Amino acid sequence: MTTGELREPLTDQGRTAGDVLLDVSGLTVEFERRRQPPLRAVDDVGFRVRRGTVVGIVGESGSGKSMTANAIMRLLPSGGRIVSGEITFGGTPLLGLREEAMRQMRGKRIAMIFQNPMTSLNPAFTIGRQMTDMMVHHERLDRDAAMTRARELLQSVGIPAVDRQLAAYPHQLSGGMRQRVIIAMALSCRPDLLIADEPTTALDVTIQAQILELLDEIAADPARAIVFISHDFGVIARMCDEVVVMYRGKIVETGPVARVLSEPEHPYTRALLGAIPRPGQRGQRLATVEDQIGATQPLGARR
Amino acid sequence: MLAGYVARRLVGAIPVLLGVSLVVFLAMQLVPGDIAKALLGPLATQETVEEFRHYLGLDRPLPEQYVNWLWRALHGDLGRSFSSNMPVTDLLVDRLRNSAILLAGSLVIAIPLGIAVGLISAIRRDTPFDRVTMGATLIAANIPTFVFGLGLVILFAVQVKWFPVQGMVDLRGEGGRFDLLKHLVLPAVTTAIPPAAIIARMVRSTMLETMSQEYIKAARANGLPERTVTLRYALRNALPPIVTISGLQIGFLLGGAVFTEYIFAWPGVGDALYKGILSRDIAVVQGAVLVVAVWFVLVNLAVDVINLALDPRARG
Amino acid sequence: MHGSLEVTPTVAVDAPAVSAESRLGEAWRRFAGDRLALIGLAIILVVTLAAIFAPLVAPDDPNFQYEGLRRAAPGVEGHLLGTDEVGRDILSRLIYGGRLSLFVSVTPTVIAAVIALLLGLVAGYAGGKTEQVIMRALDVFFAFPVVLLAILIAGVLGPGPRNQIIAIVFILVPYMARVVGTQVSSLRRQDFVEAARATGAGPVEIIGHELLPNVIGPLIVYATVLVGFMILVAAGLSFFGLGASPPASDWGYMVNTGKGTLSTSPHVVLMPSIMIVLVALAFTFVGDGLRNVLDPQGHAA
Repeated sequence: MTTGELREPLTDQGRTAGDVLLDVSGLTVEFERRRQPPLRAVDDVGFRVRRGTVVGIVGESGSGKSMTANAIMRLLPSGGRIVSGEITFGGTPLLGLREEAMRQMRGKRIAMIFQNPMTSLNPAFTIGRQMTDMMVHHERLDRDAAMTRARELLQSVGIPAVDRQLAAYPHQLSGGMRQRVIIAMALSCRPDLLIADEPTTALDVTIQAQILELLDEIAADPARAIVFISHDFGVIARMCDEVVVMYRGKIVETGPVARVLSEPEHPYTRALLGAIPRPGQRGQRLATVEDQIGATQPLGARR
Repeated sequence: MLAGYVARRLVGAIPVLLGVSLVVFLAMQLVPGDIAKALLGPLATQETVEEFRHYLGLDRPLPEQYVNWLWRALHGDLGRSFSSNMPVTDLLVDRLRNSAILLAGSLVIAIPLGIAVGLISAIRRDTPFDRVTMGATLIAANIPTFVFGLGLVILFAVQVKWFPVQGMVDLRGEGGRFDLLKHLVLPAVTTAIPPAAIIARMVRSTMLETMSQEYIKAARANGLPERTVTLRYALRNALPPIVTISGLQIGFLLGGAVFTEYIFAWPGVGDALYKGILSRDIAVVQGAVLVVAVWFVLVNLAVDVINLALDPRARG
Repeated sequence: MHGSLEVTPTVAVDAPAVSAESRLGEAWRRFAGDRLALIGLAIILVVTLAAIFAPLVAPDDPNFQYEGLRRAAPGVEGHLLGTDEVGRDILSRLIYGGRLSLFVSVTPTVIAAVIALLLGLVAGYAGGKTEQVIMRALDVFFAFPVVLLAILIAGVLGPGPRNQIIAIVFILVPYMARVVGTQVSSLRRQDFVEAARATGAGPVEIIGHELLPNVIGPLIVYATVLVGFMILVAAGLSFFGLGASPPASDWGYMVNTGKGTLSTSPHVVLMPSIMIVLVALAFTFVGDGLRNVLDPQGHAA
C-alpha cells in the first residue's frame, strides 16, 4: 500500500466497501386515485449502495420502503408511476432503459427476494422447473446444464437431498426450505445487486436466524451489494452496514448503522428503536411507534 | 392414484344419479289429474281406464312403480311414447346423435372463444379492447338463447341468405358433410354465444386474480418475458377454475340447446322434449330429461378428474 | 348474468355501531356512485311503474286489433313501436306484458328466498346429520341444467303463469339454500354466536338475532341478481308456450307469436326481445351495485 492512497474503510459489519453500484436520487412515486389527488408513496428518496455492503431500509408498513424497492425494479403495482428522480445502476440510468432492456436487468443483474416464501413460488411447477426457467432464459443454458447449476445452487444454500427437492412442488417444502430455494434462485444468474424485501418476516425465529446467516455469507462477496428491507431494527442491526430510515414516503434519517443505533437523531428513529424488544423488558408492554412519536413531537402532516 | 380417485368419484356419483332418476320419476306425479284418463280421452269408460292404469302399472304403490321404472331404465327401456307408440329409447337414439353433433359444434365454439376472449381481456386489462369485449359479453350473457337465435336467423338466413333457416340437411340437395356443416353453423353459434360470454367474463376475473399473486410478481422480478409470465406461469394456475367454469357452462349450454333445436327444427333431444311437452307425452319428456341430466353428471365428473390431474397439491 | 347462479356472496361483517340513518346514507352514497346500478334502478322503476299503472300509461288497448294496420313499422302515426302480426299496438302490449313478465320472475324469487332461508338456517344451524341430508338432497338438483329442470317441471304441470312460478321456485331453492346454508354454518362457529349461546340464548334467539341479520343482506343481493336471470328463464318458458296463454301475454310469448312474421317485420320480435334483455341487465346491474355496498372491498370487479 503506497502512501497518499486512502485505505478502504471497513464498514460497521467489518465488510469492505467498493465503488457505488446503485445510486438513487430524488425518487418520487405516486399512485393515481379516483376523484382524489394522487397519493405520494415515495417522496424525494435518495441513497447510495456500494459494492460489498448491505444497506438497510427500515420503516413501518406503508412507509414506502417496499415501493422504493419496486421502483428500482421498475415493477410498480398498477396505478403507480415514478414521477421524478434518477436511479443509476452500475453506471446505467435505469429509468432511461427500454422495457425490454430493463427486463434483461431483472433477475440477471438485480435479483429480488420476497417476503413470503409461501406465496412467491409458483404452486403449479416443480422447484427444478422454476429454477431452470430463469437460467435457460437469462444465461441461454440448456435444461440439463441449468439443472446441474440448480443442484449446485441448492447445495450452496444448505438444502439437503437436493435431487428430491428439485422434483418437488413448493407445497411439499417447509417455509425455511422455500426461502432457501428463493435465495438460490435469486443467486442463479450471479446478480450484482440483491434486493431482499422482508426476507425473514414470515419465518419463525430459529429459521430466521438461519436465513440471516445465509444472507450474511452471500454478503461476503465484495462484488455484490444487498438492499435489505425490514421493519425490524433488530434484524437491520444484525445485517446492515448502513441504514435508511423511512417514514410516510420520506427518508428521515440515514447513516452508518452503529451510529444510527447509538445516537438516533430523529424522533421517529428513536421510536422505531424503542419498539425493539430487549431482554430486560420482558413482561412490559412494548411501546408502539405511534405512541412514542405522539409523546415526542408531531411529524409534519399528522392525520 | 388418479385411477383410485376416478373410481371413488364414480361410486360417489351413484347416489346423485339415483337422486336424479327419483326427481325425474316424481316429476311425473306432478301431472295434474289421471294420466290414464287424460291419455284415453273423455270418451273412455271407467273400466277401460282401470284396465289401462293396470297396464301402465299405475295401480301399484309408488315405491314399487319407481323400482320397476328404474330397473327397466337401467336396461335401456324408457317406456313407450304415448303419441307415436314407439319405444322411447328407439326414439331418442337418433336424436341423441343429432344433439351430440349440435353440442360438439357449440362446444368447439364456446370454450375456445370464451377462454381466448377472457385471456386477452385480462392481459390487456383496461384497454379499449377489454372495455368493449366486457360490455359486449355482459349484454350477450343476458340475451336469451331464443332471442339470439331469432336474431341470427334474421341476419344470416333471411337478409343475406348465407345459411339455411332450419333443419339438419337440405332435403332437395345431396346431403353430405358440407351440407350438414352449413346447417350446423347458425344453431351452433346460437347455442354457444351466451355461455361463451359467461366463460369469457369468468376467465378474465380468474386470470386477473391469478396475475395479482406474489409468484407472478416474483416471476416478473426474475426477468422472465411477459409472454412466459402470463401464458405459462399465470395461465397454468388459472386453469383449474377455468375448467370448472367451462364445465358448469356446459350445463347452461344444454338448456340453451333445447331452444336452439326448437327454433332451427334441429331433430335432437331438445326438439323431442318440446314435442313431448306439447303432446303431453310424459314418457318422452322423462326420457329426454333423464338422458341429459345423466350426461351432465358425467360432465361434472370429468371436470373433477381433469382438475385433479392439473393440481399438484391435490395429488399430495 | 346467467353464470351468476354460481356466485356466492361473501359474509357481510357487521358495521361498527353508527346510527342507522347515517349507515343508510353511506350505503346510498356508495350505491349512487355506481352509474350502471343507478341506470338499472331507473329502468326497473320505470318498467314497474308502467306495468302497475298500465291502464293509465298505455296509449292503447293491448288487445285491440287494427284491421288493415298489421305489422306496421315503428313510428307509424299513433303506434310508436309499430303494430304486431294482427295489428295490436306493440308499446301497449309491452306495458301490459310487463305485468306478467315481472310477476312471474319476481314472485318465485321471493318465495324461493323464504323457503331457502328456512332450509338454509335449519341446515346451517343444526349442522351434522341434518345439514348433510339437506345438502346432499340439494346436490341432486345441481345435477340438472337449470333451464332443463324448469322445462321439465313446467312441462309436466302444464302451461300457465302459476306453474311457471312453481317451476322457477323449484330451480331457485337449491342454489339459494346452499348460499344461506354455507353462510350460516360458517357464522355458527364464530365468536359472537358462541358468546350469545354462552349467555343462555336459545336457538330461536340465536337464529333471529345473530344469524338472520347477517344472512339477509347477501341473500337480497343474490336474489336481485337472480331476478335478472329469472326474467330470461320465465321468458324462455313463455316462449315455449309454458307461460301466459291468450289473451294474456308477456314478453316471452310476444316473441313466440311474432316469430312467424320474422322475415317481413322483425320489429315484432325485436321489441319484446329488447325489453327482456334490458330488464335482465337492469337487475344484474342493481345486484352488482348492492353487492358493492355490502362488500365494498371484495369482488368489485
